[in-house]
Amino acid sequence: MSDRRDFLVLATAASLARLLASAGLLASAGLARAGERDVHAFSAGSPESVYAALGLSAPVESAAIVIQAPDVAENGAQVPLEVTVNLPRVQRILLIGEGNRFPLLADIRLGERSKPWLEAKVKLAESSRIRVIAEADGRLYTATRDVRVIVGGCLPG
Amino acid sequence: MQNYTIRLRATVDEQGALIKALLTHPMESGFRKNASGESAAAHYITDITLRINDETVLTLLTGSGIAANPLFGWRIADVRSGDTVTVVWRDNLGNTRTKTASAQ
Repeated sequence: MSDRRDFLVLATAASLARLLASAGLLASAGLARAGERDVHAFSAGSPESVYAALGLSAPVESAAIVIQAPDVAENGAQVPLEVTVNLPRVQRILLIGEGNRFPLLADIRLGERSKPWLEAKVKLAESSRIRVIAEADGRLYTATRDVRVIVGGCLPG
Repeated sequence: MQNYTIRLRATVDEQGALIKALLTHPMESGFRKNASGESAAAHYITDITLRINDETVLTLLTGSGIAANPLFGWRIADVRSGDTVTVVWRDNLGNTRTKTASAQ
């Protein structure tokens, strides 16, 4: 009986230690990898809840962010975007399709060698605004562009 | 059997390199229904990493709002002809693919 209890105590201590170790590991991995994907932000149902999930403060409107996209997109499932951020030290770019069921399209982390420019093809469910948020030198900037969509990118088919 | 290919090209210019990657992937949101009303299961790339030699220079965290078979373009500084360019993606089902190309 007492053997069994000792065993249980030992087993509990061992699993506790393992738990603590894995928690510690997880915590340090989380710190090391700032590029962790935020599931809540990607499943947020409105632009506001995307900002809340990512803990973003209100960005400042900026003409330094240039969004190139067609004014009219025939096919919402394949909308080409080109984003240029004319600011120094851009660390992060967020692409948001404001009319989509899940507005956050991409959260891009730029290393020091990465130029603040990118091309991507995105889906737009309906005619809506594309919003780009850029973090440069720790501050948030934003710009938008309206795209009219003829056939939505999330229709049954 | 799902076809997953990556086409990758890195062109060196005076500013560094222009990198283009075309990823073959369904990027299924999970919302689309077929004619009989069944939903296609969600199946999309969740993250993409770009490396030059062994340095990670760019990470893209993506949702299902990225187009099917997406094309990306990036610009990276200080890339020389012969440098190794690597693209890695992972999707929500745990699939992963890697492609390496030499900067031209």
